[in-house]
Amino acid sequence: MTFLTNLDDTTLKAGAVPTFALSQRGRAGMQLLGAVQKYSSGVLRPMAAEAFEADKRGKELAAQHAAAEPGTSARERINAAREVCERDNVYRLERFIQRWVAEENFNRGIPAIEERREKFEAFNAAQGETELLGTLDLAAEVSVPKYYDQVEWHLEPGGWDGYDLYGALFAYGVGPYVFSHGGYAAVGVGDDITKQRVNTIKQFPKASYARIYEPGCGGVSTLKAVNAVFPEAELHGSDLSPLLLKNGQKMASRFGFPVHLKLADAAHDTGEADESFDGVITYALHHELPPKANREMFREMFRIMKPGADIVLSDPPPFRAVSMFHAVILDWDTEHREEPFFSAVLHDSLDAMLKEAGFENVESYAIGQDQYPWVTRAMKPASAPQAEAA
Amino acid sequence: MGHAGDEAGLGSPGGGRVMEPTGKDYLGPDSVTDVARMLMALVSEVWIMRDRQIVTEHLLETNGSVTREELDEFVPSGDLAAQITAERDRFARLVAGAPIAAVRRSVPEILERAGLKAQAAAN
Repeated sequence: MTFLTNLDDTTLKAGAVPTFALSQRGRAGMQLLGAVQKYSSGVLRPMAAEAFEADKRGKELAAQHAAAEPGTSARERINAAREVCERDNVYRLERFIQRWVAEENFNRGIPAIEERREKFEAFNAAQGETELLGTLDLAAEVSVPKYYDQVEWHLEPGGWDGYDLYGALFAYGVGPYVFSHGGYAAVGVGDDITKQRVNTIKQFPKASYARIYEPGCGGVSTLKAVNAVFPEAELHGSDLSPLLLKNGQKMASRFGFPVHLKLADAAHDTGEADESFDGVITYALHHELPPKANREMFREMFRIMKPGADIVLSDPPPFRAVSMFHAVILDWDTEHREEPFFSAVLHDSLDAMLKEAGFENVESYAIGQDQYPWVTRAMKPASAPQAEAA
Repeated sequence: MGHAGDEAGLGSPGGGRVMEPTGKDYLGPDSVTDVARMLMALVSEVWIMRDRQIVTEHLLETNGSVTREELDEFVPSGDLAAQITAERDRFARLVAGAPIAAVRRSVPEILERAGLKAQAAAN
Protein backbone atom coordinates (compact mmCIF):
# COMPACT_ATOMS: atom_id res chain seq x y z
CA MET A 1 0.00 0.00 0.00
CA THR A 2 1.61 3.24 -1.09
CA PHE A 3 1.35 6.31 -3.24
CA LEU A 4 2.32 6.05 -6.89
CA THR A 5 6.11 6.33 -6.85
CA ASN A 6 7.24 6.18 -10.43
CA LEU A 7 5.84 8.53 -13.02
CA ASP A 8 7.03 7.36 -16.37
CA ASP A 9 5.99 10.22 -18.61
CA THR A 10 6.57 8.13 -21.71
CA THR A 11 3.40 6.23 -20.82
CA LEU A 12 1.22 9.30 -20.19
CA LYS A 13 -1.93 9.54 -22.26
CA ALA A 14 -1.88 12.10 -25.07
CA GLY A 15 -2.38 15.67 -23.84
CA ALA A 16 -1.72 14.88 -20.15
CA VAL A 17 -0.03 17.52 -18.00
CA PRO A 18 3.74 16.88 -17.96
CA THR A 19 5.55 15.93 -14.79
CA PHE A 20 5.91 18.46 -12.02
CA ALA A 21 9.53 19.19 -10.95
CA LEU A 22 11.19 20.11 -7.64
CA SER A 23 13.48 23.12 -7.23
CA GLN A 24 17.25 22.66 -7.55
CA ARG A 25 17.50 22.62 -3.75
CA GLY A 26 14.67 20.12 -3.34
CA ARG A 27 15.94 17.86 -6.11
CA ALA A 28 19.59 17.85 -4.99
CA GLY A 29 18.65 17.21 -1.34
CA MET A 30 16.48 14.21 -2.23
CA GLN A 31 19.04 12.87 -4.70
CA LEU A 32 21.71 12.84 -1.99
CA LEU A 33 19.45 10.63 0.17
CA GLY A 34 19.24 8.18 -2.72
CA ALA A 35 23.02 8.21 -3.25
CA VAL A 36 23.82 7.66 0.44
CA GLN A 37 21.26 4.87 0.73
CA LYS A 38 22.66 3.22 -2.39
CA TYR A 39 26.18 3.28 -0.91
CA SER A 40 24.94 2.02 2.44
CA SER A 41 22.98 -0.94 1.10
CA GLY A 42 25.32 -1.67 -1.80
CA VAL A 43 28.71 -1.44 -0.06
CA LEU A 44 28.37 -1.28 3.73
CA ARG A 45 25.69 -3.96 4.05
CA PRO A 46 27.64 -6.65 2.16
CA MET A 47 30.66 -5.84 4.39
CA ALA A 48 28.49 -6.31 7.47
CA ALA A 49 27.13 -9.59 6.06
CA GLU A 50 30.69 -10.78 5.43
CA ALA A 51 31.68 -9.94 9.02
CA PHE A 52 28.64 -11.81 10.36
CA GLU A 53 29.41 -14.87 8.29
CA ALA A 54 33.05 -14.85 9.44
CA ASP A 55 32.06 -14.67 13.12
CA LYS A 56 32.07 -18.01 14.95
CA ARG A 57 28.68 -17.44 16.62
CA GLY A 58 27.32 -15.98 13.38
CA LYS A 59 28.32 -19.15 11.54
CA GLU A 60 26.60 -21.33 14.16
CA LEU A 61 23.38 -19.32 13.94
CA ALA A 62 23.43 -19.31 10.12
CA ALA A 63 23.82 -23.10 10.12
CA GLN A 64 20.95 -23.51 12.61
CA HIS A 65 18.74 -21.19 10.55
CA ALA A 66 19.37 -23.17 7.36
CA ALA A 67 18.72 -26.54 9.03
CA ALA A 68 15.50 -28.44 8.36
CA GLU A 69 14.96 -28.73 12.11
CA PRO A 70 16.83 -25.80 13.71
CA GLY A 71 16.00 -26.69 17.34
CA THR A 72 15.38 -23.03 18.19
CA SER A 73 12.63 -20.62 17.22
CA ALA A 74 13.23 -18.06 14.48
CA ARG A 75 12.66 -15.35 17.10
CA GLU A 76 15.44 -16.73 19.30
CA ARG A 77 17.84 -17.03 16.36
CA ILE A 78 17.14 -13.50 15.10
CA ASN A 79 17.66 -12.02 18.58
CA ALA A 80 20.96 -13.86 18.95
CA ALA A 81 22.09 -12.95 15.43
CA ARG A 82 21.26 -9.27 16.01
CA GLU A 83 23.61 -9.27 19.01
CA VAL A 84 26.40 -10.56 16.76
CA CYS A 85 25.62 -7.95 14.09
CA GLU A 86 25.51 -5.07 16.56
CA ARG A 87 29.09 -5.73 17.66
CA ASP A 88 30.17 -4.63 14.18
CA ASN A 89 30.75 -0.89 13.56
CA VAL A 90 29.94 -1.23 9.86
CA TYR A 91 26.57 -2.88 10.60
CA ARG A 92 25.69 -0.07 13.01
CA LEU A 93 26.74 2.58 10.49
CA GLU A 94 24.66 0.94 7.75
CA ARG A 95 21.62 0.77 10.01
CA PHE A 96 22.09 4.41 11.08
CA ILE A 97 22.13 5.50 7.43
CA GLN A 98 18.99 3.48 6.69
CA ARG A 99 17.21 5.14 9.58
CA TRP A 100 18.51 8.60 8.68
CA VAL A 101 17.33 8.31 5.07
CA ALA A 102 13.91 7.06 6.24
CA GLU A 103 13.60 10.12 8.51
CA GLU A 104 14.91 12.52 5.87
CA ASN A 105 12.51 11.29 3.20
CA PHE A 106 10.01 13.38 5.14
CA ASN A 107 12.18 15.90 7.02
CA ARG A 108 13.69 17.04 3.72
CA GLY A 109 10.97 15.86 1.36
CA ILE A 110 8.02 17.73 2.89
CA PRO A 111 9.76 21.15 2.63
CA ALA A 112 10.88 20.29 -0.93
CA ILE A 113 7.23 19.82 -1.91
CA GLU A 114 5.86 22.62 0.25
CA GLU A 115 8.11 25.24 -1.37
CA ARG A 116 6.52 24.21 -4.69
CA ARG A 117 2.93 24.16 -3.36
CA GLU A 118 1.79 26.96 -5.64
CA LYS A 119 3.25 25.30 -8.72
CA PHE A 120 1.95 21.90 -7.68
CA GLU A 121 -1.58 23.20 -7.10
CA ALA A 122 -1.53 24.83 -10.54
CA PHE A 123 -0.32 21.54 -11.99
CA ASN A 124 -2.99 19.68 -10.05
CA ALA A 125 -5.70 22.11 -11.24
CA ALA A 126 -4.62 21.68 -14.87
CA GLN A 127 -4.68 17.94 -14.34
CA GLY A 128 -8.15 18.26 -12.78
CA GLU A 129 -9.47 19.74 -16.00
CA THR A 130 -8.85 16.46 -17.74
CA GLU A 131 -11.62 13.88 -17.56
CA LEU A 132 -11.53 11.56 -14.54
CA LEU A 133 -11.87 7.95 -15.62
CA GLY A 134 -13.66 5.19 -13.71
CA THR A 135 -15.42 5.78 -10.38
CA LEU A 136 -14.52 6.89 -6.84
CA ASP A 137 -16.85 5.96 -3.99
CA LEU A 138 -15.99 7.54 -0.65
CA ALA A 139 -19.52 7.33 0.76
CA ALA A 140 -19.11 4.34 3.06
CA GLU A 141 -18.82 4.98 6.77
CA VAL A 142 -15.71 2.99 7.55
CA SER A 143 -14.44 2.50 11.08
CA VAL A 144 -10.69 2.86 11.05
CA PRO A 145 -9.26 -0.29 12.67
CA LYS A 146 -7.26 0.20 15.85
CA TYR A 147 -4.19 -1.40 14.30
CA TYR A 148 -4.18 1.22 11.54
CA ASP A 149 -5.02 4.35 13.51
CA GLN A 150 -2.10 6.43 14.85
CA VAL A 151 0.55 4.45 13.00
CA GLU A 152 3.05 6.63 11.16
CA TRP A 153 3.90 3.98 8.55
CA HIS A 154 7.52 4.15 7.39
CA LEU A 155 8.02 7.16 9.73
CA GLU A 156 5.50 9.18 7.68
CA PRO A 157 4.36 12.06 9.96
CA GLY A 158 0.63 11.80 10.67
CA GLY A 159 0.26 8.48 8.79
CA TRP A 160 -1.00 8.07 5.22
CA ASP A 161 -3.32 11.08 5.46
CA GLY A 162 -0.97 13.26 7.53
CA TYR A 163 -0.04 15.77 4.80
CA ASP A 164 -2.17 16.77 1.84
CA LEU A 165 0.74 16.67 -0.63
CA TYR A 166 2.10 13.21 0.26
CA GLY A 167 1.02 12.05 -3.21
CA ALA A 168 3.30 14.66 -4.77
CA LEU A 169 6.11 13.87 -2.32
CA PHE A 170 6.18 10.21 -3.34
CA ALA A 171 5.58 10.80 -7.05
CA TYR A 172 8.11 13.60 -7.54
CA GLY A 173 10.58 13.22 -4.66
CA VAL A 174 10.94 9.98 -2.72
CA GLY A 175 9.91 7.73 -5.62
CA PRO A 176 12.24 8.89 -8.39
CA TYR A 177 15.17 10.03 -6.23
CA VAL A 178 15.32 7.55 -3.31
CA PHE A 179 13.16 4.45 -3.87
CA SER A 180 14.36 4.09 -7.46
CA HIS A 181 17.74 2.84 -6.18
CA GLY A 182 16.22 -0.01 -4.12
CA GLY A 183 18.20 -1.17 -1.08
CA TYR A 184 15.59 -0.37 1.58
CA ALA A 185 13.34 -2.71 3.59
CA ALA A 186 13.00 -5.95 1.57
CA VAL A 187 13.77 -4.31 -1.79
CA GLY A 188 17.12 -5.45 -3.20
CA VAL A 189 19.93 -3.05 -4.07
CA GLY A 190 19.41 -1.55 -7.51
CA ASP A 191 16.00 -3.14 -7.93
CA ASP A 192 13.32 -1.18 -9.74
CA ILE A 193 10.08 -1.56 -7.80
CA THR A 194 8.02 -0.67 -10.86
CA LYS A 195 9.45 -3.62 -12.81
CA GLN A 196 8.99 -5.82 -9.73
CA ARG A 197 5.28 -5.04 -9.71
CA VAL A 198 4.92 -5.94 -13.38
CA ASN A 199 6.85 -9.19 -12.84
CA THR A 200 4.54 -10.02 -9.94
CA ILE A 201 1.42 -9.45 -12.05
CA LYS A 202 2.87 -11.87 -14.60
CA GLN A 203 2.53 -14.61 -11.96
CA PHE A 204 -1.22 -14.79 -12.63
CA PRO A 205 -1.57 -18.16 -14.35
CA LYS A 206 -4.18 -17.29 -16.98
CA ALA A 207 -3.68 -15.27 -20.16
CA SER A 208 -6.61 -12.95 -19.57
CA TYR A 209 -8.81 -11.65 -16.74
CA ALA A 210 -12.12 -9.80 -16.96
CA ARG A 211 -12.27 -8.26 -13.47
CA ILE A 212 -9.38 -7.85 -10.99
CA TYR A 213 -9.61 -6.55 -7.42
CA GLU A 214 -6.91 -5.10 -5.17
CA PRO A 215 -7.51 -4.60 -1.43
CA GLY A 216 -5.31 -1.82 0.01
CA CYS A 217 -4.73 -0.42 -3.47
CA GLY A 218 -3.38 2.93 -2.20
CA GLY A 219 -2.32 5.25 -5.01
CA VAL A 220 -2.78 2.64 -7.78
CA SER A 221 0.90 1.77 -8.33
CA THR A 222 -0.06 -1.89 -8.57
CA LEU A 223 -3.22 -1.38 -10.62
CA LYS A 224 -1.06 0.57 -13.10
CA ALA A 225 1.12 -2.56 -13.43
CA VAL A 226 -2.02 -4.74 -13.76
CA ASN A 227 -3.19 -2.48 -16.58
CA ALA A 228 0.18 -2.92 -18.33
CA VAL A 229 -0.08 -6.74 -18.23
CA PHE A 230 -3.86 -7.18 -18.58
CA PRO A 231 -5.11 -4.09 -20.43
CA GLU A 232 -8.46 -5.77 -21.00
CA ALA A 233 -9.20 -6.20 -17.27
CA GLU A 234 -11.69 -4.00 -15.41
CA LEU A 235 -9.81 -2.77 -12.33
CA HIS A 236 -11.29 -2.35 -8.86
CA GLY A 237 -9.64 -1.44 -5.58
CA SER A 238 -10.26 -0.29 -2.04
CA ASP A 239 -8.32 1.42 0.71
CA LEU A 240 -8.79 2.97 4.16
CA SER A 241 -7.26 6.28 3.03
CA PRO A 242 -9.48 8.77 1.15
CA LEU A 243 -6.36 10.80 0.21
CA LEU A 244 -4.67 7.79 -1.40
CA LEU A 245 -7.85 6.93 -3.31
CA LYS A 246 -8.36 10.48 -4.61
CA ASN A 247 -4.74 10.63 -5.74
CA GLY A 248 -5.07 7.17 -7.22
CA GLN A 249 -8.00 8.04 -9.46
CA LYS A 250 -6.28 11.23 -10.68
CA MET A 251 -3.07 9.39 -11.46
CA ALA A 252 -4.85 6.52 -13.26
CA SER A 253 -6.78 9.05 -15.34
CA ARG A 254 -3.55 10.83 -16.21
CA PHE A 255 -2.21 7.58 -17.60
CA GLY A 256 -5.47 6.89 -19.41
CA PHE A 257 -6.82 3.80 -17.65
CA PRO A 258 -10.08 3.68 -15.65
CA VAL A 259 -10.17 2.39 -12.06
CA HIS A 260 -13.13 1.82 -9.76
CA LEU A 261 -12.05 2.75 -6.25
CA LYS A 262 -13.97 2.49 -3.01
CA LEU A 263 -13.34 3.53 0.59
CA ALA A 264 -13.56 0.25 2.52
CA ASP A 265 -11.92 -1.91 5.16
CA ALA A 266 -11.23 -4.93 2.99
CA ALA A 267 -10.53 -7.07 6.03
CA HIS A 268 -14.19 -6.78 6.99
CA ASP A 269 -16.44 -5.75 4.14
CA THR A 270 -15.39 -4.71 0.66
CA GLY A 271 -18.98 -3.91 -0.27
CA GLU A 272 -18.53 -6.08 -3.38
CA ALA A 273 -20.91 -8.84 -4.53
CA ASP A 274 -20.29 -12.55 -3.91
CA GLU A 275 -18.31 -14.36 -6.64
CA SER A 276 -17.76 -11.23 -8.73
CA PHE A 277 -13.98 -11.17 -9.49
CA ASP A 278 -11.73 -13.34 -11.64
CA GLY A 279 -8.51 -12.30 -9.90
CA VAL A 280 -7.22 -10.65 -6.72
CA ILE A 281 -3.82 -9.00 -6.38
CA THR A 282 -2.09 -7.57 -3.30
CA TYR A 283 1.32 -5.90 -3.21
CA ALA A 284 3.32 -5.06 -0.06
CA LEU A 285 0.11 -5.09 1.97
CA HIS A 286 0.06 -8.03 4.36
CA HIS A 287 3.03 -6.96 6.50
CA GLU A 288 1.02 -3.82 7.31
CA LEU A 289 -1.81 -5.83 8.88
CA PRO A 290 -1.77 -7.95 12.03
CA PRO A 291 -2.08 -11.68 11.24
CA LYS A 292 -5.70 -11.74 12.50
CA ALA A 293 -6.73 -9.01 10.04
CA ASN A 294 -4.92 -10.85 7.23
CA ARG A 295 -6.95 -13.99 7.94
CA GLU A 296 -10.18 -11.96 7.90
CA MET A 297 -9.17 -10.32 4.63
CA PHE A 298 -8.50 -13.66 2.94
CA ARG A 299 -11.97 -14.87 3.97
CA GLU A 300 -13.48 -11.73 2.42
CA MET A 301 -11.42 -12.19 -0.77
CA PHE A 302 -12.61 -15.79 -0.98
CA ARG A 303 -16.22 -14.56 -0.77
CA ILE A 304 -15.93 -12.03 -3.62
CA MET A 305 -13.91 -14.31 -5.94
CA LYS A 306 -15.60 -16.46 -8.57
CA PRO A 307 -15.02 -20.23 -8.37
CA GLY A 308 -11.74 -20.94 -10.18
CA ALA A 309 -10.48 -17.36 -9.70
CA ASP A 310 -6.79 -16.72 -8.88
CA ILE A 311 -5.18 -14.75 -6.06
CA VAL A 312 -1.57 -13.46 -6.27
CA LEU A 313 0.18 -11.86 -3.28
CA SER A 314 3.57 -10.19 -3.05
CA ASP A 315 5.03 -9.36 0.34
CA PRO A 316 8.45 -9.52 2.04
CA PRO A 317 9.71 -13.12 2.32
CA PRO A 318 9.09 -15.12 5.49
CA PHE A 319 12.07 -15.37 7.85
CA ARG A 320 12.35 -19.08 7.07
CA ALA A 321 13.12 -18.25 3.40
CA VAL A 322 16.06 -15.86 3.89
CA SER A 323 19.60 -16.08 5.30
CA MET A 324 20.21 -15.48 8.99
CA PHE A 325 21.83 -12.10 8.31
CA HIS A 326 19.01 -11.00 6.00
CA ALA A 327 16.44 -12.03 8.62
CA VAL A 328 18.08 -9.56 11.04
CA ILE A 329 17.91 -6.85 8.36
CA LEU A 330 14.20 -7.47 7.69
CA ASP A 331 13.33 -7.75 11.39
CA TRP A 332 14.95 -4.34 11.99
CA ASP A 333 12.16 -2.56 10.08
CA THR A 334 9.58 -3.48 12.72
CA GLU A 335 11.03 -1.21 15.38
CA HIS A 336 13.04 1.25 13.32
CA ARG A 337 10.86 2.10 10.33
CA GLU A 338 7.42 2.03 11.98
CA GLU A 339 6.25 -1.31 10.66
CA PRO A 340 4.48 -2.68 13.75
CA PHE A 341 3.35 -5.97 12.17
CA PHE A 342 6.32 -6.67 9.91
CA SER A 343 7.96 -9.36 12.06
CA ALA A 344 4.67 -10.92 13.20
CA VAL A 345 3.66 -11.52 9.58
CA LEU A 346 7.13 -12.74 8.55
CA HIS A 347 7.04 -15.28 11.39
CA ASP A 348 3.58 -16.43 10.24
CA SER A 349 2.64 -18.09 6.95
CA LEU A 350 0.51 -16.51 4.24
CA ASP A 351 0.32 -19.99 2.66
CA ALA A 352 -1.35 -21.37 5.78
CA MET A 353 -3.72 -18.40 5.99
CA LEU A 354 -4.87 -18.94 2.39
CA LYS A 355 -5.45 -22.65 3.01
CA GLU A 356 -7.45 -21.84 6.15
CA ALA A 357 -9.66 -19.53 4.04
CA GLY A 358 -10.42 -22.37 1.61
CA PHE A 359 -7.98 -21.71 -1.23
CA GLU A 360 -6.19 -24.58 -2.99
CA ASN A 361 -3.04 -25.01 -5.11
CA VAL A 362 -1.22 -22.69 -2.67
CA GLU A 363 2.43 -22.13 -3.55
CA SER A 364 5.07 -19.52 -2.70
CA TYR A 365 8.41 -18.63 -4.26
CA ALA A 366 10.85 -15.77 -4.90
CA ILE A 367 11.19 -13.96 -8.22
CA GLY A 368 14.10 -11.62 -7.34
CA GLN A 369 17.32 -11.20 -5.35
CA ASP A 370 17.25 -11.62 -1.56
CA GLN A 371 14.02 -13.63 -2.07
CA TYR A 372 12.08 -10.48 -3.02
CA PRO A 373 9.50 -10.10 -4.41
CA TRP A 374 8.19 -13.16 -2.61
CA VAL A 375 5.06 -14.36 -4.40
CA THR A 376 2.30 -16.47 -2.89
CA ARG A 377 -0.46 -17.59 -5.21
CA ALA A 378 -3.52 -19.80 -4.98
CA MET A 379 -6.89 -20.56 -6.54
CA LYS A 380 -10.44 -20.63 -5.26
CA PRO A 381 -11.71 -24.16 -5.93
CA ALA A 382 -13.70 -24.31 -9.16
CA SER A 383 -16.61 -25.94 -7.36
CA ALA A 384 -16.26 -24.21 -3.99
CA PRO A 385 -19.54 -23.70 -2.19
CA GLN A 386 -19.64 -20.16 -0.80
CA ALA A 387 -20.21 -21.53 2.70
CA GLU A 388 -16.55 -22.58 2.87
CA ALA A 389 -15.61 -18.94 3.21
CA ALA A 390 -17.38 -18.64 6.54
CA MET B 1 61.12 13.83 33.20
CA GLY B 2 57.54 14.44 34.10
CA HIS B 3 55.08 16.93 32.71
CA ALA B 4 52.86 19.25 34.59
CA GLY B 5 49.97 17.12 33.40
CA ASP B 6 51.51 14.03 34.96
CA GLU B 7 51.55 15.70 38.32
CA ALA B 8 47.84 16.40 37.91
CA GLY B 9 47.22 12.82 36.72
CA LEU B 10 46.54 14.03 33.18
CA GLY B 11 49.43 12.44 31.30
CA SER B 12 48.56 11.19 27.79
CA PRO B 13 49.40 7.67 26.60
CA GLY B 14 51.81 9.15 24.03
CA GLY B 15 53.67 11.15 26.66
CA GLY B 16 52.55 14.54 25.28
CA ARG B 17 50.86 17.25 27.27
CA VAL B 18 47.07 17.05 27.29
CA MET B 19 44.48 19.72 27.85
CA GLU B 20 42.67 19.91 31.11
CA PRO B 21 39.02 18.78 30.96
CA THR B 22 36.81 21.59 29.66
CA GLY B 23 33.99 20.80 32.02
CA LYS B 24 30.86 18.73 31.91
CA ASP B 25 30.44 16.33 28.97
CA TYR B 26 27.17 17.87 27.82
CA LEU B 27 26.34 15.45 25.01
CA GLY B 28 27.58 12.16 26.46
CA PRO B 29 28.21 8.92 24.57
CA ASP B 30 24.49 8.33 23.95
CA SER B 31 24.43 11.40 21.71
CA VAL B 32 26.85 10.08 19.09
CA THR B 33 23.89 9.26 16.84
CA ASP B 34 22.54 12.79 17.18
CA VAL B 35 25.96 14.19 16.28
CA ALA B 36 25.90 11.95 13.20
CA ARG B 37 22.47 13.35 12.31
CA MET B 38 23.91 16.87 12.58
CA LEU B 39 26.84 15.87 10.39
CA MET B 40 24.57 14.35 7.75
CA ALA B 41 22.37 17.46 7.73
CA LEU B 42 25.51 19.47 7.00
CA VAL B 43 26.57 16.96 4.33
CA SER B 44 23.20 17.44 2.62
CA GLU B 45 23.62 21.22 2.60
CA VAL B 46 27.15 20.92 1.18
CA TRP B 47 25.91 18.63 -1.60
CA ILE B 48 23.04 20.98 -2.49
CA MET B 49 25.60 23.78 -2.90
CA ARG B 50 27.92 21.54 -4.93
CA ASP B 51 25.04 20.56 -7.24
CA ARG B 52 24.13 24.23 -7.61
CA GLN B 53 27.72 25.06 -8.49
CA ILE B 54 27.77 22.40 -11.24
CA VAL B 55 24.47 23.68 -12.64
CA THR B 56 25.72 27.29 -12.48
CA GLU B 57 28.92 26.41 -14.37
CA HIS B 58 26.87 24.56 -16.98
CA LEU B 59 24.43 27.43 -17.52
CA LEU B 60 27.27 29.98 -17.69
CA GLU B 61 29.13 27.86 -20.25
CA THR B 62 25.95 27.31 -22.26
CA ASN B 63 24.20 30.69 -22.00
CA GLY B 64 26.91 33.09 -20.83
CA SER B 65 24.74 34.26 -17.96
CA VAL B 66 22.46 32.82 -15.30
CA THR B 67 19.64 34.05 -13.07
CA ARG B 68 18.53 32.71 -9.70
CA GLU B 69 15.22 31.60 -11.20
CA GLU B 70 16.97 29.64 -13.97
CA LEU B 71 19.00 27.83 -11.32
CA ASP B 72 15.95 27.05 -9.20
CA GLU B 73 13.98 25.69 -12.14
CA PHE B 74 16.76 23.79 -13.90
CA VAL B 75 16.38 20.02 -14.19
CA PRO B 76 19.57 18.33 -15.48
CA SER B 77 19.24 15.79 -18.26
CA GLY B 78 21.45 13.79 -20.60
CA ASP B 79 25.23 14.04 -20.13
CA LEU B 80 24.97 16.67 -17.42
CA ALA B 81 22.61 14.47 -15.35
CA ALA B 82 25.06 11.58 -15.73
CA GLN B 83 27.98 13.81 -14.69
CA ILE B 84 26.11 15.02 -11.59
CA THR B 85 25.12 11.45 -10.69
CA ALA B 86 28.76 10.32 -10.87
CA GLU B 87 29.91 13.26 -8.75
CA ARG B 88 27.11 12.67 -6.21
CA ASP B 89 27.97 8.97 -5.92
CA ARG B 90 31.63 9.88 -5.35
CA PHE B 91 30.60 12.40 -2.70
CA ALA B 92 28.37 9.85 -0.93
CA ARG B 93 31.14 7.24 -1.09
CA LEU B 94 33.71 9.57 0.46
CA VAL B 95 31.39 10.71 3.26
CA ALA B 96 29.57 7.50 4.19
CA GLY B 97 32.70 5.45 3.52
CA ALA B 98 34.96 7.64 5.69
CA PRO B 99 34.90 5.22 8.66
CA ILE B 100 36.03 2.26 6.55
CA ALA B 101 38.67 4.45 4.89
CA ALA B 102 40.50 4.23 8.23
CA VAL B 103 41.09 0.51 7.77
CA ARG B 104 40.76 -0.19 4.04
CA ARG B 105 43.75 1.78 2.83
CA SER B 106 45.27 -0.03 -0.12
CA VAL B 107 46.01 2.16 -3.16
CA PRO B 108 43.23 0.55 -5.26
CA GLU B 109 40.75 1.05 -2.41
CA ILE B 110 41.75 4.69 -1.96
CA LEU B 111 41.46 5.31 -5.71
CA GLU B 112 38.13 3.50 -5.91
CA ARG B 113 36.63 5.72 -3.20
CA ALA B 114 37.83 8.72 -5.18
CA GLY B 115 36.11 7.40 -8.30
CA LEU B 116 39.43 6.60 -10.03
CA LYS B 117 41.09 3.43 -11.27
CA ALA B 118 44.66 2.46 -10.47
CA GLN B 119 46.81 3.16 -13.56
CA ALA B 120 49.95 1.32 -12.42
CA ALA B 121 51.10 -1.02 -9.69
CA ALA B 122 52.33 0.74 -6.56
CA ASN B 123 56.13 0.83 -6.21
